[in-house]
Amino acid sequence: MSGCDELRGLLIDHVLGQTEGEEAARIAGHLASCEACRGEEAALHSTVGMLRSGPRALPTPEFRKSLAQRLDAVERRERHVARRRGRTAAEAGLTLWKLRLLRSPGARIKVAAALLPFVLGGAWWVVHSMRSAERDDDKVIQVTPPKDRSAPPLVDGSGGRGVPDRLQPPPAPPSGDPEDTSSKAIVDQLVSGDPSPLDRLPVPAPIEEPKVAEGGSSSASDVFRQRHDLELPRKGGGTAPPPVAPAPAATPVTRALDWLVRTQRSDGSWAPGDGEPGLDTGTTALALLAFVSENCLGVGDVAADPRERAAAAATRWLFERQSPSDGAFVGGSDAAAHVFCHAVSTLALLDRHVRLTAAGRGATADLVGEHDRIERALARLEVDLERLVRPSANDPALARCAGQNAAWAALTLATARHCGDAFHLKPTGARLTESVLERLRNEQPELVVATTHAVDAMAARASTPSDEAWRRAVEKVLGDPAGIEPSLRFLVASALAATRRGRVDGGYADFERRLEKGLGSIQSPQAGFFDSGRRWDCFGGGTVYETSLGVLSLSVAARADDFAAMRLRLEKLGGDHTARPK
Amino acid sequence: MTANDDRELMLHAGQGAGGEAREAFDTLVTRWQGRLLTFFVRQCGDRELAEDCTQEVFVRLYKARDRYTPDAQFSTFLFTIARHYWIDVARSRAVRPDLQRGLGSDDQDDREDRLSRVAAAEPAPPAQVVQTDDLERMHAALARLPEPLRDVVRLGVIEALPYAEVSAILSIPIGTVKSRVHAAVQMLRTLMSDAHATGTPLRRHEGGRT
Repeated sequence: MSGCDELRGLLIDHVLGQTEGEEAARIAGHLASCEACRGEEAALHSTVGMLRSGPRALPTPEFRKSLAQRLDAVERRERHVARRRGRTAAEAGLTLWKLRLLRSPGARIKVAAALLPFVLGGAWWVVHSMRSAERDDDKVIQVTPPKDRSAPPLVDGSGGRGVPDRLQPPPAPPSGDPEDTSSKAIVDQLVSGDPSPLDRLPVPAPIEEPKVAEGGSSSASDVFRQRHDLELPRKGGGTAPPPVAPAPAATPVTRALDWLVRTQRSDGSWAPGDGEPGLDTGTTALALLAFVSENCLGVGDVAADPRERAAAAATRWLFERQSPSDGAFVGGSDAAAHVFCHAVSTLALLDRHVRLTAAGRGATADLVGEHDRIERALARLEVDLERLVRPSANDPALARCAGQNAAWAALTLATARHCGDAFHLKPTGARLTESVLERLRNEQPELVVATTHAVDAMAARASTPSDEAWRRAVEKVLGDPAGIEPSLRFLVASALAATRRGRVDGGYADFERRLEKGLGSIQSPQAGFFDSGRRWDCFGGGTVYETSLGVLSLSVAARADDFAAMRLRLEKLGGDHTARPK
Repeated sequence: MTANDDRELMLHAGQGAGGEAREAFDTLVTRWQGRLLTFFVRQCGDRELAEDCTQEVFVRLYKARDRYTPDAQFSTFLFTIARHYWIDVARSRAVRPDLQRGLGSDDQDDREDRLSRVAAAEPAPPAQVVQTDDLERMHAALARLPEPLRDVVRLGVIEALPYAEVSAILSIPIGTVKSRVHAAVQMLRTLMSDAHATGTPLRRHEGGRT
């Protein structure tokens, strides 16, 4: 029947309600008189009904609550952007340099009281240190012992490109450096009690450090900070930048940064050197992070300040590595190296971005565009972290250094989540981080416990009290700060800075003194780089790697303060807009 | 609750932040969240991922609210964003097979297990419960369709959007939408019929409804 043939082609449209007017009437008329077509119509109804009859998902109250928070964040972000766009350079008065003033003794106490300093700072440190932590847990650390631990201090005029001839990391077994409090006593102090963020503690009086000129009994971190403040040209400020000329007296940190300046390639990147081949992106990101943590953000006087110039070139180079399709910072030769490169690049650029944002540098940097790019990178990083839940099941290459990658990813995401700036992150991300860490707990307990402490500190929540893994991690760093895998050292130091610093028990101050002394033993006195002479399984290490993490380890406390101040600043900016009009 | 209402709400939302604008948007969310969430659950079979996707679409919608112009149905606007977002997600999952929690690369048992969990988590009328086997069979058949046909089924059949909207969302002519719907339905029926004949994909199926 030609009528049937013609109309059957329209029956599905009819069943779907997509016919109307004359056509609909024609079909209805035919159906009334044709049983075969009615059967066909019934069959189509059944098919469509089945397609539509799946379970209906109903959003949970948590879903709406979480969505509301994200929409709030969008509004805050919009207001940030509007404010930035409306601000002139001159108005952007609160420079990073000025932010440093927040670390004056009085202000610091308030900051500490607000708990946030350590939390935020800890997060950043943790990110860096997680990486090393994983290596340590991989037992990679024992791979290559120092060639001659009793040798005299390294003298290397080669610019640090090669493996130093010798190093003299103190063998320092946990039991003891006779000059200091016994290691065991320090460890006891550091791992005992409640390692919760300092915001939960009464503000200890000793945090009011003396001026550098007065010497005194302040902690090593205070001394470091003061020295840096005096000697490092702090950029980031528009109105009253500090003197551009490098300070006459170099510190371990400035000498290391200057070595990095000298070894930077003309395109802005650093070669992995003795590290894993192809890891240029990750190496460059760590180096940039070292500059950033000293507030060399690449937006200061680039012409006159080589450190600013180095930071600017590295930033540019890294952003050029970002894939336009998925936001990944491309680098490395396998899946594990990809994750590493992406995680540390995201962290370095995020750190820099947050500092600039807090300093109100929207008028001098394209922060809006950067924010979007970093947000895309964070989204991609969440995907990477998710892959690490079951690395070996999916891509064998991912299982390599999975703990270290998870640590960097977790710290980067936690930093974004808690830095006070408005980044859109998956509401399930925190849970994902926990599950990844839990999965790795048996494989890499020290790494995981340090990461957990750091993340908890960033989130300003109480952390799990001490356990054996945490004690071992602290013992390792304390026993041989120069011989431990650099990222584990950094991670542990970060977690300690976030949770123990400022405590009246003094354990942290002893820890910092050990750390400073140990790192001093592996720094080239002339060239300025740090190198333990060891090579590590995960991503190989290398002189640039060790130097960058050396700088980061020494600036843990200052970073904590910086981030506390920035978070307060950003929250204040956001707070102006948070209240919704009626 | 008409489409015009949705458009007006969206325009209202686009006039600011917080306050009444936000309330307008919240109303839209309330209206569409279930449908959007179901849309994503059907795409991936994973409740958690579907919630993430749904949230992300609403966030994107909110970010774009000041650019909304009422020259299209709100649903067109919404599903265009949703589809584009899903394409991004699916691509990233294709690149990373380990993330394929809900799509084709999973083994069948996993998928069935997940679907039944999703089904179990949601209130469903008794009629749907007895259809579980056919339902799963249909999901399996749908997953075997070529992507262009799946798209029109999801939007034109399951979401019951007018062909004109499907055409706009997919950027294809209406005639192509029609022909794809026809082809898809025919293919689904064939696949279902084969599945019945062979007893797959559900071994416990005992014969059927239709």
